[in-house]
Amino acid sequence: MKKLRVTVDGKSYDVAVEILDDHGKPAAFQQSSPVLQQSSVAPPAASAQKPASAPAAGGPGSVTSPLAGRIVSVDCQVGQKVASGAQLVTVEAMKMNTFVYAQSDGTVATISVSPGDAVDEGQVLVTLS
Amino acid sequence: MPIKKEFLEELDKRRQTVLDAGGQDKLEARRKKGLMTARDRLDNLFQAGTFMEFGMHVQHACHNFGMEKKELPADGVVTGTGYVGDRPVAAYSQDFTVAGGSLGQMHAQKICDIMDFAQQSGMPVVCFNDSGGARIQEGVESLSGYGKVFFKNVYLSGVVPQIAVIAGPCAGGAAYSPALTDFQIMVKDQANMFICGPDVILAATGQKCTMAEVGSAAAHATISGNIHFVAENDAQAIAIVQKLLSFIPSNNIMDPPHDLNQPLVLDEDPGMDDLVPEDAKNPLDVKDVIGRLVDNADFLEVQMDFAKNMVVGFARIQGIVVGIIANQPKVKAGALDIDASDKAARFIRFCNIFNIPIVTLVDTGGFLPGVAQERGGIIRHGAKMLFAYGAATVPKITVIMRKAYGGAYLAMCSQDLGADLVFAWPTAEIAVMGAEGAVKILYKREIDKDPASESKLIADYRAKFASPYQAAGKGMITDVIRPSQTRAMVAMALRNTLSKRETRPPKKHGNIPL
Repeated sequence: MKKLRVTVDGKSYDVAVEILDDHGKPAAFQQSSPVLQQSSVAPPAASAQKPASAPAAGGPGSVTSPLAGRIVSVDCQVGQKVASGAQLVTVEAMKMNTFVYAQSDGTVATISVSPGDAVDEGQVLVTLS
Repeated sequence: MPIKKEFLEELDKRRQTVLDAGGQDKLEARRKKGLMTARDRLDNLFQAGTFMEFGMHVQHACHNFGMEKKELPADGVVTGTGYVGDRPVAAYSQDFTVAGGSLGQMHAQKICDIMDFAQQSGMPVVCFNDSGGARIQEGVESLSGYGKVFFKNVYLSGVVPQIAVIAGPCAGGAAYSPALTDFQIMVKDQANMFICGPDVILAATGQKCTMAEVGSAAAHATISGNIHFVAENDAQAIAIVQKLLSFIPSNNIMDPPHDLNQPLVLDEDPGMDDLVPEDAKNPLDVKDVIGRLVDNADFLEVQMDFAKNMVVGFARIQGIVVGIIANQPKVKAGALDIDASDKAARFIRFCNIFNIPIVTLVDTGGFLPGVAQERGGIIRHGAKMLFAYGAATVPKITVIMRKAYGGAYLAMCSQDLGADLVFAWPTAEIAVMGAEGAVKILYKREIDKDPASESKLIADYRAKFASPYQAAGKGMITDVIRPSQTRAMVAMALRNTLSKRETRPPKKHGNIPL
């Protein structure tokens, strides 16, 4: 809610305005097509080998950490039904919070981390069923 | 006396044979499957009636393996020029219905001829790759043909823009021609591109893999970084080509198609202030910032699915075409890593070739630490960004939004790398390193004596140094501005630097780390 003072023909009105739009998302201009995140394609990894210390990556349904860092919070619960794009875990690295989202709809099956844990890039955080 | 009818009929007959390509039934079958024919692609690319075909009547000269009995219309490739956005553009389109679009000696010669024409006339080249590969019957002539095309790609590189559409199979050596062009657009599903496919890999190494893993648009867009755009179908690929061309000049001695007829509008945009999260630890979405910075939120993102911690692409800011390079703090804390450095450096160098001003948006915690990064060569890959920015002589305008630490501050076009103007938001943190790390080094003795003092020292350091004012105090920042002023200031800076010309000591070319 923003408070504005609008002056029309010398008369002032104090108005409260609620901004409903979503920060000017681009209209339907020609863009590269989105690539489906599909399990038939290997999950994006660093261009070199994975560090040897990383635990074996799980199968489809595994939600892994995109970078090495520390768990700030677990934002879901076992048994919770989540939609694609739901925030599952918050990881902190380089003084910045990185939010980890569900790549598909599902139910939270296991949570492998707790706040304060150090995690590696590619480490399994949560699995969805 | 008018021209004899027989001459015109003979010409029409020959033309129709070539237009029928592999046969009308084959052409229709493609359309039914949702695939455009070679000529459909050019008809859709060019404005109606502007296509001038080169070499329609070329015939192959091969006499091996029964080829002397085979007529291959247009030798499997359609070449010529047409208008895109009111500018002439050269193009070639391989025809899968004619000998599988295979490349033989004359096929290659047609391609080289149209590329020569484009280079000398100063117009972009667009190519549609859709080919089974080398025409085996022509043996080393086919191989040499590819070599000639690659040489032309390199000869033209940096002179005129070259855009490749991978619209069908593009296998083995054939994949190197698109790789040598400036931008590659790949169509989903109908196209694949690889040097060795799954069968060859299995036979040679025993490794099992699927085409989706090594040759698909998805694999190239997200993992190998070999392509810049993904299209659902031929029509969208063509639309992307046209959109790309709308930002790029026809050749390297022309300016990009700026629209300078619009007056400069210097209003503030409070919406930009709203985008900055209150908590410094929460990431902003740089694509939202870009949306507010550019005209009509119209941003053509390049390599959208690769190295997502770096966002690059084309837009206009109050009419002036710009190349935007921006950290994406939502991904990997906006850190610079190997892939992000490669992505940014290549894009910077393209903008430099074609006189496109560069706008850099900074919010990065630094270079990504990690064993894989170090052993993978982050040193030589990160150095590419320094080299690309340092070598660029186009106008360079930098906006430091939030974090800018250490080498990453430099790598994101700091003033020292030749930025013409550097703006910083009040939330900018410009420092050699973060407070925690700095304090451990500077106050090691004090902390060893009294560990409790560490947190106050960190807070003091942060207050003093994690701001734009140290750098501004030393004249390293043009101005500290409110986010709401960004669009106006950058637009004005772009207008002011339109005539920037810089000369460097003569050399063949610099030695960019690769």
